[in-house]
Amino acid sequence: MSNTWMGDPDPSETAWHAPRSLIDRFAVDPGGVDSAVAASFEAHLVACARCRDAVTERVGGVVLEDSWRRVASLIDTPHLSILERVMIRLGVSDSTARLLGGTPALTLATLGSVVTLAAMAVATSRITDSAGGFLVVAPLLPLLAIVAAFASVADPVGEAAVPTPMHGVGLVLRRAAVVLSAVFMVLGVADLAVGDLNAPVVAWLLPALALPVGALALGTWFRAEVAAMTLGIGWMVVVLGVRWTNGLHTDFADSTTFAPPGQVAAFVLLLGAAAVVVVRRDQFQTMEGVR
Amino acid sequence: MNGDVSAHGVTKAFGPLVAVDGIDVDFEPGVTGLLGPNGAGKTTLMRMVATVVAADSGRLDVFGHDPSTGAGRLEIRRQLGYLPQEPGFHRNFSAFDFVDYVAILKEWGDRSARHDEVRRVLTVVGLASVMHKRIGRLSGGMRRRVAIAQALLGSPRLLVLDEPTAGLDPEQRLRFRELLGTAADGATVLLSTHQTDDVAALCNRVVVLLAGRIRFVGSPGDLAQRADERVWTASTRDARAEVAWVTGDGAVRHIGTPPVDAQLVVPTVEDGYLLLAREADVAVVGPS
Repeated sequence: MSNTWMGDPDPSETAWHAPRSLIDRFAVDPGGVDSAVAASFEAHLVACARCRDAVTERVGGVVLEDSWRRVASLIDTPHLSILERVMIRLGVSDSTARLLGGTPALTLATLGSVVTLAAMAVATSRITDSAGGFLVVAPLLPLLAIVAAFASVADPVGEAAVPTPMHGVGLVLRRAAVVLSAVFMVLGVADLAVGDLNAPVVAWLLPALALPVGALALGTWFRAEVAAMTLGIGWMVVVLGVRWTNGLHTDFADSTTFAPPGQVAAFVLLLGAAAVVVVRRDQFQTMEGVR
Repeated sequence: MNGDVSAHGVTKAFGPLVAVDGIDVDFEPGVTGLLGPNGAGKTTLMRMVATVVAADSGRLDVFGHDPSTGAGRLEIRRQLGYLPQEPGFHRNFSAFDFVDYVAILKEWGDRSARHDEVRRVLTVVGLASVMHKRIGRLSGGMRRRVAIAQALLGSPRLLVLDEPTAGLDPEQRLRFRELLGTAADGATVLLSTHQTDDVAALCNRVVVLLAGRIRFVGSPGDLAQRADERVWTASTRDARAEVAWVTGDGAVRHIGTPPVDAQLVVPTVEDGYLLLAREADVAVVGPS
């Protein structure tokens, strides 16, 4: 398939071509050419196959062609987000960083929403002098991030991503891990801001793990939005129901949800959801599972 | 199972709606066109072949691999180029970013080689000069070409193209036909379209799907032949016709059982398709 879309100009051809004298000087001693002329000529070479060939012929060798490929590749490198750059700094390959970072869950808008909601929950807890507000809201934030990452419109290339070798449970779990890591960092800072009010503040941790993993498990049957909404509503029903059972005068932070029985229940839910994800992992390979 | 892609008794339902109803068909190297009205099951069949959705029952075989298994799916995906009917476009991606992202998903790990391939396919579809423009700023036809470009990555052995010419103007469609003529060299190409002239110009074979079932398999010429001596023109509409419409020159073209003194004309693929749909009693939107 080497033909081009007929009628469109061949991008490797331009109307202007460098004079022989410039090609000779550039090929022999690029540093000796005026810097402005050299910069302009280099930009021209990227677009002009004929002048590239002329320089290659003058210099002679495969090395130059390889150099141009690398230069063109560098110029074409997609603009990287801050998170992608962080991942690359941490040793993640550029292609993996692109795959993991290319999700709406890691946009500034989504992370900003998470930070705002976490800040509001912290403020509520500080004002009411109780960790209850934070404990109730914190587990919902990873759920929000999971929806942003795996909603049916979330993948940057949509349905085109599905029938590709990389699509499947591996990508889903890696992307979930990156998204949840970002959210848990926010929650960790928020936890410190809540301080040691009248409850073990870290009691949000297990529910905050169980709910997003539960959403992934339910996502093997339903769309991610439906799965997350079901679990979000379920969480609120449980929190309010347990508090009602404990007595309406009970502080949320003191309710059974955040006491050892509630923590055990969250842990069991987490294990069960993880088991479902493993057993039904094939569902992630098609459009019928979360993307 | 004779073709590169074979379906045997394949069925797919969405709730009470049976989209594909126990079909048997082989797809061989060359270009096969899927014709049918909206809701006929074309997209569902293509999605099953492309491993996007799984069949409920029946057996699919793609290059000897079973798409219902993880290993089979992976092998098929490594030889596949897929153009969905409505690809998603990340608002911040340029055409290059979009195709590059798909290339990563297709296991092009080496950046330099990947970028070479991305440039190649974008050049093939004539978008080299705008490859760094954001997709949101490209026209609908250009976006379609970006989507076609990602399907061509790696010169796949199987190309599944769902309405590839939708949104392309007549000149771009003409160029697409030329491009596909080259791309299809040795590959198995499955494309759906509502444009019967695309089928006539592009396809070696045509499969007509109506209400989830296959009603015709053959060459475009065979499909047109079905309407032989059943198409005529007249100055006024004839009530005996199965289908009739006014053409650009003011004459009324009819399909059905012609009157004795009818002025018969050579049938087209569209005539054959409309007659087939009418015989199957399936509502089809009128000729384009």
